Amino acid sequence: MSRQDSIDVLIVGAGASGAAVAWSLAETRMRIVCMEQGGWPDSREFPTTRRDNEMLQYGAWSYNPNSRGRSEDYPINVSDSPIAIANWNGVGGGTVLYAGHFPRFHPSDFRTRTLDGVGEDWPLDYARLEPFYARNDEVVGVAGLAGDPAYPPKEVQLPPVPLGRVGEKLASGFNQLGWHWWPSDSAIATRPYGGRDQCLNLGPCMSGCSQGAKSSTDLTYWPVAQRAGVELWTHCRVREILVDENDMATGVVYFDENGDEQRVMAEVVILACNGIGTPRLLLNSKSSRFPDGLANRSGQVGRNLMHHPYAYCQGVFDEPLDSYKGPIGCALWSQEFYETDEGRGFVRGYTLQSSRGFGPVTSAMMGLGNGHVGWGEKHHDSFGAYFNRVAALSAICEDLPEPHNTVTLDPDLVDSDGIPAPKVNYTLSENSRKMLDHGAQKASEVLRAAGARDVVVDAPLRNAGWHLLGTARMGNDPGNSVVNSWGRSHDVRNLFIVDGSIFVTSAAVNPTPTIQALALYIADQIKDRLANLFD
Amino acid sequence: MSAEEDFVDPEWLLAVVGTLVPAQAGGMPAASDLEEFRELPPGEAKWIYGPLVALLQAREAEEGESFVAAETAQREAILREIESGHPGLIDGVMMQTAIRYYRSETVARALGLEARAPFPGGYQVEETDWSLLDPVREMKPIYRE
Repeated sequence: MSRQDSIDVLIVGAGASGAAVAWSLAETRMRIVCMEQGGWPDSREFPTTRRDNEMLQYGAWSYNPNSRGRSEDYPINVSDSPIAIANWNGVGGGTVLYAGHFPRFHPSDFRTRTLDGVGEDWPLDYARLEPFYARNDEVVGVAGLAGDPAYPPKEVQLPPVPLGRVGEKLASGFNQLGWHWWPSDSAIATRPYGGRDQCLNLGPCMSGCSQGAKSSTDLTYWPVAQRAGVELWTHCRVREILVDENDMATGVVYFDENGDEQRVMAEVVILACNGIGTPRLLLNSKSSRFPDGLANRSGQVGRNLMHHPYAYCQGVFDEPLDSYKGPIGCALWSQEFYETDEGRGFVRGYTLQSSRGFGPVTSAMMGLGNGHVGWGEKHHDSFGAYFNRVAALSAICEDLPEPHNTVTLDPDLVDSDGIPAPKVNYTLSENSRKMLDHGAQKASEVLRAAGARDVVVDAPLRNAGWHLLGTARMGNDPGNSVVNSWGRSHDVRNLFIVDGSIFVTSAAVNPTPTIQALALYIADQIKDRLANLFD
Repeated sequence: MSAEEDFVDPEWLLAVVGTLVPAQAGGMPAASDLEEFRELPPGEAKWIYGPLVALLQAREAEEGESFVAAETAQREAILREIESGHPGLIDGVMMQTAIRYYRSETVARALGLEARAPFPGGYQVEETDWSLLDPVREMKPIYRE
């Protein structure tokens, strides 16, 4: 089939949500095309295939697009934000460079207005999404342990990631304090699963998994979707969504792999570009019908940007912990402080997530930065007392939606195709600051109870804009939301959004399972409503 | 190094890195013993060490005390004196020195690490004794509906 032939469903973005929605819609036998501005990741190039690999995590394989600076990346102006944006532009999207930490939302996360008087309630609930969480877990292959008292009952597919000495230390600290902890749900194959081999404990999952044990969508959803007929066009960057006089999307203008401008027509357009890329594309799609950006009659496109502010707390121990071995972000979590307790001075809560240590280069850099490593005569003793002796807990704080936290178009910055780039304006709320302080204090208590002789706190962690949420939120009221309860734009009836931008609130967990469950749910809604999808 | 010169005298460079990261009895090499510094590209050497070496040379011209010929302890004292007058300068130089030092295969071996890529060999992480979880298993549900 030629590229110019009519497309039934055009998906923009091949990451966590684009892959899931493509996989689900494939059974319709419609012509489904996904455009992705990057290419396929090549695991032979991932840093852990090289002995001298650590610095690659800060350059070519950085999760900060401004550091990578590849032609398929787009620059992001974060000069007015304490948190820098992380992403990866290519097939698999952010799942290529994520840690694989895979917690679901809690039921209460969908009802923050009703329960706590903040944020907004979602137009759907945990029970509605639960079958889609479960379906996604089956595809992903979640390693974990059933029975966590922090969650309603749920199944896992694989045994948990081993805690290692780091995790066991932390667990002992939690046990001494009598606080909740549980082995993390992890998108990591601890046994062969779905054609993927098992984890080798390489360490830095966040620069790509050379073994392919981490569940990134280039390895899970995409091969199946392609076999079912979905076309994936790589190195195609969409500049603008076209719309007709009836407020229906008609197709897109894009730059192909040669940098030539092209246009294609489509019956349905689905955006899966994340909480920065989606508002950017909508705001770049201005027309006489939509002078403030496509699907933006509510004025909500680009507003309510939410991250998860992180308080990173690193404990330094006396004994070696083998801390550079094992999946860096997956061992255990604690949700002791997840649900609201107004006695703490803030609403909502946070997860404490463990992380392991680093190789010698990163350890030296961190130790020099935080004062644990010196120079001159004391260098080797100080380095020896720090390297391989750290364990960390991060408080992942729920961020509440605030309209002044925005993604707009930068007046000057453009990508390699000349498309206006996004600018982030973001400030931490007083509630988030109090939560960060509380989280840092409680994490420090655990680390001390576990035997740490010192604790270093970094909050808010700057390079922690991994979770990009809320900038085209869902809701029943077209006046204060962008899409309805099943992901369809209020303004453009054949335009859907399935990525993290449709989140109403952020919860206090990594969002990928919820992003993918939503994408699968919206795909089911599309299939169920095909006869009257545009009514 | 004068302002007109386009390179850093290797003798000065090695004296600096050997002071920042000296040898340690028991096996850790001095940075100045490593190829990574002996063969540092001139442009990189100038970018990292040029400003500090220029300060050291100016100091020597003024005070007549040789930095390169001094004992390590004396060199460290000189660098600490410079550090107090130029906050951040030594920190930046040390950061770049440490990055290059710990990338060295020789240093990895001296640390007792296997000098190989993590993949495909991977690492062993011992299996967990999940009886650690027993106190948590006894908890009542802590989530809200």
